[in-house]
Amino acid sequence: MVVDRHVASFAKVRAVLTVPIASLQYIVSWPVHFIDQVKNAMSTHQDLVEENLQLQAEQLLLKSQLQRLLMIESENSHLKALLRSSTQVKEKVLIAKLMAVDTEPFTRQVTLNKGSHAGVYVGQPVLEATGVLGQVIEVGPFTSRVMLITDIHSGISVSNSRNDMRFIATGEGYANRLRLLYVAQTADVKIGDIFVTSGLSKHYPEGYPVGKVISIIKGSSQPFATILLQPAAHLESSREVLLVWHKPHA
Amino acid sequence: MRSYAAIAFSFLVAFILTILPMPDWLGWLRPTWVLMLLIYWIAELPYRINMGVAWVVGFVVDLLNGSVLGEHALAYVIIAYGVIKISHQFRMYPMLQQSLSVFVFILIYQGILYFIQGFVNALPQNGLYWFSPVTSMVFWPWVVVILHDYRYRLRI
Repeated sequence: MVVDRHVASFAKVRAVLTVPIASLQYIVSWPVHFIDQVKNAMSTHQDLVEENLQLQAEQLLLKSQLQRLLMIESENSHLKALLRSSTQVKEKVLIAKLMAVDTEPFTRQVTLNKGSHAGVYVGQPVLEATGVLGQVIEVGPFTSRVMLITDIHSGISVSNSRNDMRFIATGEGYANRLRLLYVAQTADVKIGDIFVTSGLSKHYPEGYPVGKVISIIKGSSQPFATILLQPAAHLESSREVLLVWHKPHA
Repeated sequence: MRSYAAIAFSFLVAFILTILPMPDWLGWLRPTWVLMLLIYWIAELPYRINMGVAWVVGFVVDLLNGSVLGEHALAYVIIAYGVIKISHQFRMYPMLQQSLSVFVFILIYQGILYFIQGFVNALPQNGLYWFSPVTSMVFWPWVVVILHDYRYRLRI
């Protein structure tokens, strides 16, 4: 136990040991994926037409928003070039599936079906459609393990999207909440504020939503205010996630 | 040799049951399949399935769960020691008494895990955590019946 926690090179041993485990995980998650496929195959024509229409409408909406975004992005990169800042705009991404396997309920981790064969590395940020999910903590050849942002060992540098105040958000463990660390009693944080990744940490790219403030407790007896965030990503229900290749700006 | 393969296969099934996806609250109540199997094999074949096996099995469970390596291994070895100590009486117990002993063993196991979690990670704050021994106890007679049948068919 001591070796596992304190010797960094032991991660390699662990990665090798995950190979036989991965086969077991694939066996378990296969029926779930299979049922999904059967469900897809059996969906009726009517359903497909409806879904198609809905998706087309959604695509139209997203495209119109994207046009605006493209303009803003080019303008932004132009302005950044003027300021000689070296923030990169484009990042390589890969879609990975969550494997349908459980861990013990007191570990806030999920398993992905992509490993070092797909180029996944330890510390890689993992995003979901609506926000940040977590980071990769263990990579095997065919699978990798992701620590969710609600794990108590997870820390993420965030900034308030309203006024750019920066804090560190750490997981609360089981409650599916995040907590902001070391917030002064006088800090300007309101309920409903959205916190996004600040890009200051090495791991996470800038500007992705992390969570929304749901409760603020201030008291003169405590040195810091207690602020809880609701994660923006659907940590419990997401099936597909994005692995992002994020090179921290040199 | 064949008997070892059969025992290994039974553990494989237990591993699969351990990582089978379940709803959140049911996950807390999941019976500790691997430990129940371990208790059964140790009580029935104490000269073949010993504390070394318990350690290896616990190691695999650690890898499956992504917990600190050795956490489950340690807990399993401690429980295995207790089971080996009373294995001769344990086989003679009536079913109710067996179930109650299993309840106590798994409660001790949960206690050990609770301590280790307290040192290295977050404590399980859900009260359902302490109900897992109860579900294990309820499932114990069925596990025994199925495994007796399994052994009878394979003549282990």
